[in-house]
Amino acid sequence: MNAAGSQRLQAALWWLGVAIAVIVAAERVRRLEWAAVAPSLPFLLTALGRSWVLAIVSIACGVIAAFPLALTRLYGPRGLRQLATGAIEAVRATPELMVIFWVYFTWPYLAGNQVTAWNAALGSLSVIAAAYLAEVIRAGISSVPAGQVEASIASGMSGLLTFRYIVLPQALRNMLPALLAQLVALFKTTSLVYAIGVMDFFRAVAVTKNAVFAPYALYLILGAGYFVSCFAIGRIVRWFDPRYQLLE
Amino acid sequence: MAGGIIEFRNVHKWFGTLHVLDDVSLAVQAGQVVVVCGPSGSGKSTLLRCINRLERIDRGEIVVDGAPLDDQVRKITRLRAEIGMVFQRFNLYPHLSVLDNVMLAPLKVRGLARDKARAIAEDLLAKVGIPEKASAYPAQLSGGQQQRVAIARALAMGPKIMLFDEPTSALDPEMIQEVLEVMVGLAEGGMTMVVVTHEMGFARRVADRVVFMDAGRVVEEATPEDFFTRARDPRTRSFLGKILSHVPGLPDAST
Repeated sequence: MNAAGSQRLQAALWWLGVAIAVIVAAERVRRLEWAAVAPSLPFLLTALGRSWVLAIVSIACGVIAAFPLALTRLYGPRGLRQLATGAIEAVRATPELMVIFWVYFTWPYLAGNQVTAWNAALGSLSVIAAAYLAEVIRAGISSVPAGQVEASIASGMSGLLTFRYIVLPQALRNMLPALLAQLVALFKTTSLVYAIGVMDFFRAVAVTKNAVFAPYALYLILGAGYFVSCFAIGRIVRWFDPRYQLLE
Repeated sequence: MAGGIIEFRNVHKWFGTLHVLDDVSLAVQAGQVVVVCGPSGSGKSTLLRCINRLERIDRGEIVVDGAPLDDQVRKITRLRAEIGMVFQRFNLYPHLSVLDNVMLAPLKVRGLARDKARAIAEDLLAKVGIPEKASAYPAQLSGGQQQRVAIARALAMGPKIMLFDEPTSALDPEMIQEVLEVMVGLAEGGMTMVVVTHEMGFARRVADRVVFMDAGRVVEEATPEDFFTRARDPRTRSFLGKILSHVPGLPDAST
Protein backbone atom coordinates (compact mmCIF):
# COMPACT_ATOMS: atom_id res chain seq x y z
CA MET A 1 0.00 0.00 0.00
CA ASN A 2 1.34 3.43 -0.89
CA ALA A 3 1.82 6.27 1.58
CA ALA A 4 -1.21 8.28 0.44
CA GLY A 5 -3.48 5.25 0.73
CA SER A 6 -2.28 4.43 4.24
CA GLN A 7 -2.84 8.03 5.25
CA ARG A 8 -6.40 7.91 3.94
CA LEU A 9 -7.07 4.70 5.87
CA GLN A 10 -5.73 6.28 9.06
CA ALA A 11 -8.00 9.30 8.60
CA ALA A 12 -11.02 7.05 7.99
CA LEU A 13 -10.31 5.06 11.15
CA TRP A 14 -9.89 8.25 13.14
CA TRP A 15 -13.23 9.65 12.01
CA LEU A 16 -14.93 6.31 12.63
CA GLY A 17 -13.59 6.37 16.20
CA VAL A 18 -14.80 9.92 16.71
CA ALA A 19 -18.25 9.05 15.36
CA ILE A 20 -18.58 6.04 17.68
CA ALA A 21 -17.50 8.15 20.68
CA VAL A 22 -20.03 10.87 19.83
CA ILE A 23 -22.88 8.38 19.37
CA VAL A 24 -22.09 6.58 22.65
CA ALA A 25 -21.79 9.90 24.50
CA ALA A 26 -25.05 11.20 23.01
CA GLU A 27 -26.85 8.04 24.02
CA ARG A 28 -25.50 8.29 27.59
CA VAL A 29 -26.51 11.98 27.75
CA ARG A 30 -29.99 11.13 26.46
CA ARG A 31 -30.45 8.62 29.26
CA LEU A 32 -29.58 11.14 32.00
CA GLU A 33 -32.25 12.31 34.46
CA TRP A 34 -33.67 15.09 32.26
CA ALA A 35 -37.27 14.60 33.39
CA ALA A 36 -36.28 15.32 36.97
CA VAL A 37 -34.36 18.46 35.98
CA ALA A 38 -36.91 19.96 33.57
CA PRO A 39 -39.10 21.71 36.20
CA SER A 40 -35.99 23.51 37.54
CA LEU A 41 -34.90 24.90 34.18
CA PRO A 42 -36.59 28.34 34.54
CA PHE A 43 -34.95 28.68 37.95
CA LEU A 44 -31.55 27.76 36.51
CA LEU A 45 -31.89 30.14 33.55
CA THR A 46 -32.88 32.99 35.85
CA ALA A 47 -29.75 32.28 37.89
CA LEU A 48 -27.62 32.29 34.74
CA GLY A 49 -29.12 35.69 33.94
CA ARG A 50 -28.13 36.81 37.43
CA SER A 51 -24.55 35.71 36.75
CA TRP A 52 -24.60 37.79 33.59
CA VAL A 53 -25.86 40.82 35.47
CA LEU A 54 -23.09 40.35 38.05
CA ALA A 55 -20.50 40.09 35.28
CA ILE A 56 -21.75 43.04 33.24
CA VAL A 57 -22.19 45.43 36.16
CA SER A 58 -18.87 44.52 37.80
CA ILE A 59 -16.98 44.75 34.50
CA ALA A 60 -18.58 48.12 33.74
CA CYS A 61 -17.68 49.48 37.19
CA GLY A 62 -14.27 47.79 36.89
CA VAL A 63 -13.47 49.49 33.58
CA ILE A 64 -14.52 52.89 34.91
CA ALA A 65 -12.12 52.46 37.86
CA ALA A 66 -9.42 50.67 35.87
CA PHE A 67 -8.64 53.58 33.52
CA PRO A 68 -7.70 56.09 36.24
CA LEU A 69 -5.83 53.33 38.10
CA ALA A 70 -3.79 52.39 35.02
CA LEU A 71 -3.12 56.03 34.07
CA THR A 72 -2.05 56.85 37.62
CA ARG A 73 0.27 53.86 37.70
CA LEU A 74 1.80 54.92 34.38
CA TYR A 75 1.92 58.71 34.54
CA GLY A 76 0.92 59.72 38.07
CA PRO A 77 3.12 61.64 40.49
CA ARG A 78 5.28 59.48 42.74
CA GLY A 79 3.04 59.08 45.80
CA LEU A 80 -0.16 58.45 43.85
CA ARG A 81 1.64 56.11 41.50
CA GLN A 82 2.77 53.91 44.38
CA LEU A 83 -0.71 53.99 45.90
CA ALA A 84 -2.28 52.79 42.64
CA THR A 85 0.39 50.13 42.22
CA GLY A 86 -0.14 48.95 45.78
CA ALA A 87 -3.92 48.71 45.41
CA ILE A 88 -3.71 46.85 42.10
CA GLU A 89 -1.10 44.40 43.34
CA ALA A 90 -2.85 43.78 46.67
CA VAL A 91 -6.03 42.66 44.91
CA ARG A 92 -4.16 40.64 42.28
CA ALA A 93 -1.96 38.88 44.83
CA THR A 94 -4.82 37.66 47.04
CA PRO A 95 -7.48 35.03 46.29
CA GLU A 96 -10.66 36.43 44.76
CA LEU A 97 -12.71 34.60 47.39
CA MET A 98 -10.85 36.49 50.10
CA VAL A 99 -11.74 39.83 48.49
CA ILE A 100 -15.38 38.75 48.44
CA PHE A 101 -15.22 37.79 52.14
CA TRP A 102 -13.51 41.05 52.98
CA VAL A 103 -16.24 43.11 51.38
CA TYR A 104 -19.08 41.01 52.82
CA PHE A 105 -17.81 40.45 56.37
CA THR A 106 -15.21 43.12 57.08
CA TRP A 107 -16.90 46.10 55.48
CA PRO A 108 -19.91 46.03 57.89
CA TYR A 109 -17.48 45.75 60.79
CA LEU A 110 -15.44 48.76 59.60
CA ALA A 111 -18.27 50.94 58.29
CA GLY A 112 -20.91 49.92 60.79
CA ASN A 113 -23.64 49.31 58.22
CA GLN A 114 -24.87 46.01 56.83
CA VAL A 115 -24.40 45.11 53.17
CA THR A 116 -26.63 42.67 51.38
CA ALA A 117 -24.97 39.65 49.82
CA TRP A 118 -25.94 40.94 46.38
CA ASN A 119 -24.32 44.35 46.92
CA ALA A 120 -21.25 42.73 48.45
CA ALA A 121 -21.01 40.48 45.40
CA LEU A 122 -21.26 43.43 43.02
CA GLY A 123 -18.78 45.47 45.05
CA SER A 124 -16.15 42.78 45.43
CA LEU A 125 -16.39 41.65 41.80
CA SER A 126 -16.01 45.28 40.71
CA VAL A 127 -12.87 45.64 42.83
CA ILE A 128 -11.44 42.47 41.33
CA ALA A 129 -12.34 43.56 37.80
CA ALA A 130 -10.80 46.99 38.35
CA ALA A 131 -7.46 45.57 39.48
CA TYR A 132 -7.11 43.02 36.69
CA LEU A 133 -8.42 45.32 33.94
CA ALA A 134 -6.10 48.12 35.11
CA GLU A 135 -3.16 45.86 34.32
CA VAL A 136 -4.60 44.93 30.93
CA ILE A 137 -5.01 48.63 30.11
CA ARG A 138 -1.55 49.50 31.40
CA ALA A 139 0.04 46.74 29.30
CA GLY A 140 -1.89 47.99 26.26
CA ILE A 141 -0.69 51.55 26.72
CA SER A 142 2.91 50.43 27.32
CA SER A 143 2.81 48.39 24.12
CA VAL A 144 2.61 51.53 21.96
CA PRO A 145 6.16 52.26 20.72
CA ALA A 146 7.87 55.40 22.02
CA GLY A 147 8.44 56.50 18.40
CA GLN A 148 4.70 56.96 17.99
CA VAL A 149 4.56 59.44 20.85
CA GLU A 150 7.69 61.21 19.59
CA ALA A 151 6.29 61.60 16.09
CA SER A 152 3.09 63.02 17.49
CA ILE A 153 4.57 65.53 19.91
CA ALA A 154 7.18 66.53 17.32
CA SER A 155 4.30 67.61 15.07
CA GLY A 156 3.04 70.00 17.75
CA MET A 157 0.39 67.73 19.26
CA SER A 158 -0.04 68.21 23.02
CA GLY A 159 0.30 65.31 25.44
CA LEU A 160 -3.47 65.05 25.70
CA LEU A 161 -4.03 65.06 21.93
CA THR A 162 -1.27 62.50 21.53
CA PHE A 163 -2.87 60.20 24.09
CA ARG A 164 -6.32 60.57 22.58
CA TYR A 165 -5.47 60.15 18.90
CA ILE A 166 -2.22 58.14 18.85
CA VAL A 167 -1.73 56.13 22.05
CA LEU A 168 -5.27 55.15 23.00
CA PRO A 169 -6.46 53.72 19.66
CA GLN A 170 -3.34 51.58 19.31
CA ALA A 171 -3.43 50.56 22.97
CA LEU A 172 -7.07 49.44 22.71
CA ARG A 173 -6.24 47.38 19.65
CA ASN A 174 -3.21 45.77 21.31
CA MET A 175 -5.03 44.95 24.54
CA LEU A 176 -7.90 43.03 22.90
CA PRO A 177 -6.48 39.50 23.29
CA ALA A 178 -5.57 40.08 26.95
CA LEU A 179 -8.90 41.80 27.50
CA LEU A 180 -10.78 38.81 26.10
CA ALA A 181 -8.90 36.41 28.39
CA GLN A 182 -9.54 38.67 31.36
CA LEU A 183 -13.28 39.08 30.70
CA VAL A 184 -13.70 35.31 30.42
CA ALA A 185 -11.80 34.88 33.70
CA LEU A 186 -13.99 37.53 35.34
CA PHE A 187 -17.15 35.82 34.18
CA LYS A 188 -15.99 32.59 35.76
CA THR A 189 -15.02 34.47 38.93
CA THR A 190 -18.69 35.41 39.41
CA SER A 191 -19.25 31.78 40.47
CA LEU A 192 -17.32 32.47 43.71
CA VAL A 193 -20.14 34.59 45.12
CA TYR A 194 -22.05 31.39 45.79
CA ALA A 195 -19.96 31.32 48.99
CA ILE A 196 -21.82 34.32 50.43
CA GLY A 197 -25.23 33.02 49.45
CA VAL A 198 -25.95 34.87 46.19
CA MET A 199 -28.10 32.71 43.96
CA ASP A 200 -25.91 32.84 40.86
CA PHE A 201 -25.80 30.10 38.25
CA PHE A 202 -23.29 28.01 40.17
CA ARG A 203 -25.26 28.12 43.42
CA ALA A 204 -28.54 27.49 41.62
CA VAL A 205 -27.13 24.29 40.14
CA ALA A 206 -25.84 23.21 43.56
CA VAL A 207 -29.21 23.93 45.19
CA THR A 208 -31.11 22.04 42.47
CA LYS A 209 -28.76 19.09 42.89
CA ASN A 210 -29.69 18.88 46.58
CA ALA A 211 -33.40 18.94 45.74
CA VAL A 212 -33.50 16.45 42.87
CA PHE A 213 -31.10 13.60 42.33
CA ALA A 214 -29.75 14.33 38.87
CA PRO A 215 -26.08 15.20 39.37
CA TYR A 216 -24.78 14.34 35.90
CA ALA A 217 -27.45 16.22 34.01
CA LEU A 218 -26.92 19.22 36.27
CA TYR A 219 -23.13 19.21 35.93
CA LEU A 220 -23.60 19.06 32.18
CA ILE A 221 -25.93 22.06 32.35
CA LEU A 222 -23.42 23.85 34.58
CA GLY A 223 -20.58 23.32 32.13
CA ALA A 224 -22.71 24.23 29.12
CA GLY A 225 -23.96 27.43 30.80
CA TYR A 226 -20.45 28.75 31.45
CA PHE A 227 -19.11 27.54 28.14
CA VAL A 228 -21.82 29.26 26.10
CA SER A 229 -21.46 32.44 28.16
CA CYS A 230 -17.68 32.64 27.77
CA PHE A 231 -17.95 31.81 24.09
CA ALA A 232 -20.44 34.65 23.71
CA ILE A 233 -18.03 37.04 25.46
CA GLY A 234 -15.35 36.06 22.95
CA ARG A 235 -17.70 36.85 20.10
CA ILE A 236 -18.69 40.20 21.59
CA VAL A 237 -15.06 41.27 22.10
CA ARG A 238 -14.07 40.19 18.63
CA TRP A 239 -16.91 42.27 17.24
CA PHE A 240 -14.98 45.34 18.43
CA ASP A 241 -11.80 44.22 16.70
CA PRO A 242 -10.99 46.82 14.07
CA ARG A 243 -10.03 45.59 10.66
CA TYR A 244 -6.83 47.54 10.14
CA GLN A 245 -3.44 45.98 10.60
CA LEU A 246 -1.10 47.24 13.25
CA LEU A 247 2.11 46.35 11.48
CA GLU A 248 4.73 48.78 10.44
CA MET B 1 27.31 83.64 12.29
CA ALA B 2 24.92 85.20 14.77
CA GLY B 3 21.19 85.66 14.20
CA GLY B 4 20.48 82.26 12.68
CA ILE B 5 17.06 80.65 12.76
CA ILE B 6 18.69 77.92 14.88
CA GLU B 7 21.53 78.75 17.25
CA PHE B 8 23.42 76.51 19.66
CA ARG B 9 25.46 78.45 22.21
CA ASN B 10 27.95 76.36 24.19
CA VAL B 11 25.52 73.50 24.59
CA HIS B 12 26.38 70.59 26.86
CA LYS B 13 24.43 67.41 27.48
CA TRP B 14 25.19 64.29 29.44
CA PHE B 15 23.55 60.86 29.40
CA GLY B 16 24.65 59.79 32.86
CA THR B 17 28.42 60.14 32.68
CA LEU B 18 28.51 60.16 28.89
CA HIS B 19 29.18 63.63 27.52
CA VAL B 20 26.99 63.43 24.39
CA LEU B 21 27.14 67.12 23.50
CA ASP B 22 30.38 68.81 24.45
CA ASP B 23 30.36 72.59 24.09
CA VAL B 24 28.48 72.66 20.80
CA SER B 25 28.05 76.04 19.13
CA LEU B 26 26.37 76.17 15.78
CA ALA B 27 24.18 78.52 13.75
CA VAL B 28 21.86 77.68 10.90
CA GLN B 29 20.56 80.54 8.76
CA ALA B 30 17.04 80.56 7.33
CA GLY B 31 16.94 78.76 4.00
CA GLN B 32 20.16 76.89 4.62
CA VAL B 33 20.64 73.14 4.34
CA VAL B 34 23.05 71.76 6.91
CA VAL B 35 24.14 68.14 6.80
CA VAL B 36 25.40 66.63 10.04
CA CYS B 37 27.50 63.50 9.86
CA GLY B 38 29.83 61.56 12.08
CA PRO B 39 30.45 58.10 13.47
CA SER B 40 27.82 56.22 15.46
CA GLY B 41 27.48 57.67 18.95
CA SER B 42 29.02 61.01 18.01
CA GLY B 43 25.95 62.90 19.22
CA LYS B 44 24.56 63.94 15.84
CA SER B 45 21.04 62.57 16.45
CA THR B 46 21.01 64.06 19.94
CA LEU B 47 21.99 67.43 18.48
CA LEU B 48 19.05 67.23 16.08
CA ARG B 49 16.59 66.14 18.78
CA CYS B 50 17.59 69.09 20.96
CA ILE B 51 16.30 71.50 18.32
CA ASN B 52 12.65 70.54 18.90
CA ARG B 53 13.26 69.66 22.51
CA LEU B 54 12.79 65.91 22.25
CA GLU B 55 15.96 66.00 24.38
CA ARG B 56 16.70 68.55 27.07
CA ILE B 57 20.10 70.13 27.40
CA ASP B 58 22.09 70.45 30.62
CA ARG B 59 24.04 73.62 29.92
CA GLY B 60 24.20 76.39 27.34
CA GLU B 61 21.42 77.81 25.25
CA ILE B 62 19.52 76.95 22.11
CA VAL B 63 17.61 79.69 20.30
CA VAL B 64 15.09 78.63 17.68
CA ASP B 65 13.25 81.18 15.55
CA GLY B 66 14.30 84.02 17.84
CA ALA B 67 13.15 82.45 21.12
CA PRO B 68 15.36 80.60 23.60
CA LEU B 69 14.13 77.06 24.36
CA ASP B 70 12.95 76.76 27.93
CA ASP B 71 10.84 74.42 30.00
CA GLN B 72 7.41 75.91 29.35
CA VAL B 73 5.40 73.07 27.91
CA ARG B 74 2.99 75.30 26.00
CA LYS B 75 5.76 77.26 24.32
CA ILE B 76 7.62 74.12 23.34
CA THR B 77 4.44 72.56 21.93
CA ARG B 78 3.77 75.71 19.90
CA LEU B 79 7.36 75.75 18.64
CA ARG B 80 7.22 72.08 17.63
CA ALA B 81 4.27 72.89 15.37
CA GLU B 82 6.70 75.06 13.34
CA ILE B 83 9.38 72.36 13.09
CA GLY B 84 8.83 69.28 10.97
CA MET B 85 10.67 66.09 11.86
CA VAL B 86 11.35 62.94 9.87
CA PHE B 87 12.56 59.84 11.69
CA GLN B 88 14.77 56.95 10.72
CA ARG B 89 11.97 54.44 11.39
CA PHE B 90 9.24 56.62 9.74
CA ASN B 91 6.94 56.35 12.80
CA LEU B 92 3.79 56.64 10.74
CA TYR B 93 0.61 56.06 12.73
CA PRO B 94 -0.34 52.48 11.82
CA HIS B 95 -4.00 52.84 12.78
CA LEU B 96 -4.61 55.78 10.43
CA SER B 97 -4.73 55.88 6.65
CA VAL B 98 -2.01 57.76 4.79
CA LEU B 99 -4.33 60.72 4.32
CA ASP B 100 -5.30 60.77 8.01
CA ASN B 101 -1.63 60.54 9.00
CA VAL B 102 -0.97 63.73 7.06
CA MET B 103 -4.16 65.49 8.14
CA LEU B 104 -4.07 64.78 11.87
CA ALA B 105 -1.86 67.60 13.17
CA PRO B 106 -3.32 70.28 10.84
CA LEU B 107 -6.81 69.30 12.06
CA LYS B 108 -6.06 69.00 15.76
CA VAL B 109 -3.27 71.55 16.25
CA ARG B 110 -4.03 74.18 13.62
CA GLY B 111 -7.79 73.63 13.83
CA LEU B 112 -8.15 73.61 10.05
CA ALA B 113 -11.47 72.68 8.48
CA ARG B 114 -11.59 69.11 7.21
CA ASP B 115 -11.81 69.93 3.51
CA LYS B 116 -8.97 72.44 3.77
CA ALA B 117 -6.72 69.95 5.59
CA ARG B 118 -7.65 67.32 3.04
CA ALA B 119 -6.73 69.59 0.14
CA ILE B 120 -3.33 70.33 1.73
CA ALA B 121 -2.71 66.64 2.39
CA GLU B 122 -3.64 65.56 -1.13
CA ASP B 123 -1.45 68.30 -2.57
CA LEU B 124 1.53 67.17 -0.48
CA LEU B 125 1.02 63.49 -1.31
CA ALA B 126 1.13 64.48 -4.97
CA LYS B 127 4.30 66.46 -4.29
CA VAL B 128 6.06 63.45 -2.74
CA GLY B 129 4.86 61.32 -5.64
CA ILE B 130 2.29 58.97 -4.08
CA PRO B 131 -1.16 60.57 -4.53
CA GLU B 132 -2.66 57.15 -5.30
CA LYS B 133 -1.83 55.82 -1.81
CA ALA B 134 -3.99 58.31 0.10
CA SER B 135 -6.43 55.72 1.41
CA ALA B 136 -3.82 52.98 2.03
CA TYR B 137 -2.56 52.12 5.49
CA PRO B 138 1.15 52.42 6.37
CA ALA B 139 1.60 48.63 6.57
CA GLN B 140 0.64 48.40 2.89
CA LEU B 141 3.48 50.71 1.77
CA SER B 142 7.14 50.08 1.04
CA GLY B 143 9.74 51.72 3.29
CA GLY B 144 10.48 54.40 0.72
CA GLN B 145 6.79 55.21 0.34
CA GLN B 146 6.34 55.32 4.11
CA GLN B 147 9.20 57.76 4.47
CA ARG B 148 7.77 59.99 1.75
CA VAL B 149 4.43 59.99 3.59
CA ALA B 150 6.33 60.91 6.75
CA ILE B 151 7.85 63.88 4.91
CA ALA B 152 4.40 64.93 3.65
CA ARG B 153 3.07 64.62 7.19
CA ALA B 154 5.79 66.92 8.51
CA LEU B 155 5.26 69.43 5.68
CA ALA B 156 1.49 69.55 6.27
CA MET B 157 2.06 71.83 9.26
CA GLY B 158 3.79 74.37 7.03
CA PRO B 159 7.02 74.23 9.07
CA LYS B 160 9.77 76.83 9.00
CA ILE B 161 12.40 74.19 9.69
CA MET B 162 12.64 70.53 8.71
CA LEU B 163 14.72 68.06 10.74
CA PHE B 164 15.76 64.72 9.24
CA ASP B 165 17.16 62.03 11.54
CA GLU B 166 18.92 59.50 9.27
CA PRO B 167 15.93 59.41 6.94
CA THR B 168 17.37 56.79 4.59
CA SER B 169 19.23 54.53 7.03
CA ALA B 170 16.35 52.07 7.44
CA LEU B 171 15.64 51.84 3.71
CA ASP B 172 16.58 49.22 1.17
CA PRO B 173 19.15 50.66 -1.28
CA GLU B 174 16.73 50.90 -4.21
CA MET B 175 14.38 53.10 -2.15
CA ILE B 176 16.95 55.59 -0.91
CA GLN B 177 16.91 57.57 -4.13
CA GLU B 178 13.16 58.23 -4.17
CA VAL B 179 13.37 59.72 -0.66
CA LEU B 180 16.48 61.77 -1.45
CA GLU B 181 14.79 63.20 -4.56
CA VAL B 182 11.96 64.56 -2.40
CA MET B 183 14.51 66.06 0.00
CA VAL B 184 16.48 67.66 -2.83
CA GLY B 185 13.25 69.20 -4.11
CA LEU B 186 12.58 70.65 -0.66
CA ALA B 187 16.09 72.05 -0.38
CA GLU B 188 15.85 73.67 -3.78
CA GLY B 189 12.54 75.19 -2.72
CA GLY B 190 14.36 77.12 0.02
CA MET B 191 13.41 75.07 3.09
CA THR B 192 15.65 75.37 6.14
CA MET B 193 16.87 71.84 6.73
CA VAL B 194 19.09 70.08 9.23
CA VAL B 195 19.82 66.58 7.99
CA VAL B 196 21.65 63.86 9.88
CA THR B 197 22.77 61.49 7.15
CA HIS B 198 25.66 59.62 5.63
CA GLU B 199 24.39 60.25 2.11
CA MET B 200 27.37 62.25 0.97
CA GLY B 201 26.02 62.55 -2.56
CA PHE B 202 23.05 64.44 -1.10
CA ALA B 203 25.40 66.63 0.94
CA ARG B 204 27.45 67.53 -2.13
CA ARG B 205 24.38 68.32 -4.17
CA VAL B 206 22.34 70.52 -1.85
CA ALA B 207 24.12 71.22 1.45
CA ASP B 208 25.26 74.75 2.21
CA ARG B 209 27.39 73.40 5.01
CA VAL B 210 28.52 70.04 6.30
CA VAL B 211 29.10 69.54 10.01
CA PHE B 212 31.21 66.65 11.21
CA MET B 213 30.79 65.50 14.80
CA ASP B 214 32.90 63.14 16.86
CA ALA B 215 32.58 62.29 20.57
CA GLY B 216 29.99 65.02 21.18
CA ARG B 217 32.02 67.79 19.58
CA VAL B 218 31.70 69.67 16.31
CA VAL B 219 35.04 68.79 14.78
CA GLU B 220 34.64 70.30 11.35
CA GLU B 221 32.21 72.70 9.73
CA ALA B 222 32.71 73.61 6.09
CA THR B 223 31.12 74.02 2.69
CA PRO B 224 30.71 70.68 0.90
CA GLU B 225 33.48 71.67 -1.51
CA ASP B 226 35.99 72.26 1.28
CA PHE B 227 34.66 69.41 3.39
CA PHE B 228 35.23 66.75 0.76
CA THR B 229 38.48 68.08 -0.67
CA ARG B 230 40.24 70.06 2.07
CA ALA B 231 39.11 68.64 5.43
CA ARG B 232 41.38 70.06 8.13
CA ASP B 233 40.91 67.57 10.95
CA PRO B 234 42.47 64.10 10.68
CA ARG B 235 39.34 62.55 12.23
CA THR B 236 37.26 63.99 9.41
CA ARG B 237 39.67 62.69 6.82
CA SER B 238 39.65 59.23 8.36
CA PHE B 239 35.85 59.19 8.54
CA LEU B 240 35.52 60.34 4.94
CA GLY B 241 38.03 57.74 3.87
CA LYS B 242 35.86 55.04 5.40
CA ILE B 243 32.49 56.08 4.07
CA LEU B 244 33.53 57.40 0.67
CA SER B 245 35.56 54.36 -0.28
CA HIS B 246 32.36 52.53 -1.26
CA VAL B 247 30.61 55.44 -2.93
CA PRO B 248 31.72 55.50 -6.55
CA GLY B 249 32.00 58.79 -8.36
CA LEU B 250 33.08 60.84 -5.39
CA PRO B 251 36.62 62.08 -4.83
CA ASP B 252 38.66 60.16 -2.32
CA ALA B 253 39.07 62.29 0.76
CA SER B 254 42.68 61.36 1.29
CA THR B 255 43.81 62.86 -2.00
